[in-house]
Amino acid sequence: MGERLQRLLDGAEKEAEVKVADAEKSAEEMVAKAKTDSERRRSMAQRGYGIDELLKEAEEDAKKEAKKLIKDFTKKAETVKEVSEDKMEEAVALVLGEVIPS
Amino acid sequence: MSSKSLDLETQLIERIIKQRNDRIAKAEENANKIIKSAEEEVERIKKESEAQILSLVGSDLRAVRDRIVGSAELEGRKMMMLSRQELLSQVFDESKKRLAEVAEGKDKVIDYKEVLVKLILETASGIGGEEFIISANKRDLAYLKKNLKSIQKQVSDVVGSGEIKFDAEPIDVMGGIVMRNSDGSKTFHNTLEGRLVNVRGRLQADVGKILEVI
Repeated sequence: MGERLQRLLDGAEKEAEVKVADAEKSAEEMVAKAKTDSERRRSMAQRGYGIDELLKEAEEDAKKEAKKLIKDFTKKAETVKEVSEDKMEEAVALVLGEVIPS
Repeated sequence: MSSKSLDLETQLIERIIKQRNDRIAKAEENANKIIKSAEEEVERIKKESEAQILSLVGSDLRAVRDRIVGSAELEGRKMMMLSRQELLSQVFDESKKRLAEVAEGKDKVIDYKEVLVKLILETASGIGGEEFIISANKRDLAYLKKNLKSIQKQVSDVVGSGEIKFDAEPIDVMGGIVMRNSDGSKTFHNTLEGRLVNVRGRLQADVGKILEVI
């Protein structure tokens, strides 16, 4: 009985060690892969390669910004044309006053 | 086996199983921590790498943005400029319409005949000399010919002397005159259209201020 229970505990200890060891191995692989990938991308970027995605992203962002700009300008351009009759009349009076000799 | 020793054995088994489960759980917890820590490290490496790449290709990215956003800004400013121009044109178109009404004698306040004489006096003063040849539209020529003596006197009062003659052919203008001296060395365009064009050049900014578009 005591021997079987001890084996159970020994098995658990072994299983626990394997779990941690597997995790450590995975972690090392993840970090190593990230380092390799980063180094490769950085090296490619240095030579001007592999930046298409970044450029595409920058282009998309810029397009969004441009769209908003045009929308704002369109609104402002329409607002500019909304002039009261009094202002128009004042402007016309100024022009006539200059054209017609006093 | 007595009931008491059976209970003890059961308790022992349960304790051992608990110990086993605790050990496994603890190992799983450690394993998760290790993986989580690795994921964080991966994220940090990626971010650092992205930052390095951005600094390497920053000028390329800025160029992309400048090209697209700059073009939109230009387009937007052009839209604004066109709107302002449209508004200014409205003012000058309306002014031209009113001037036509004045020249046709339809304005209740402004006497175009007086305006015409003033334009002649102003032009004669500018040209100087003793003889002036006037071109005008058919309607104004008729009026001027009919009132030649009076107008000639007014010109003489202003420039000292002044003989006025008229071109035989009327010109196609809204109103006002074109005057030249006898030898044709000096010509002064003082039509309403011409004055309006001059005023437009001079007063765009003032009109823009009134309309609050500048």
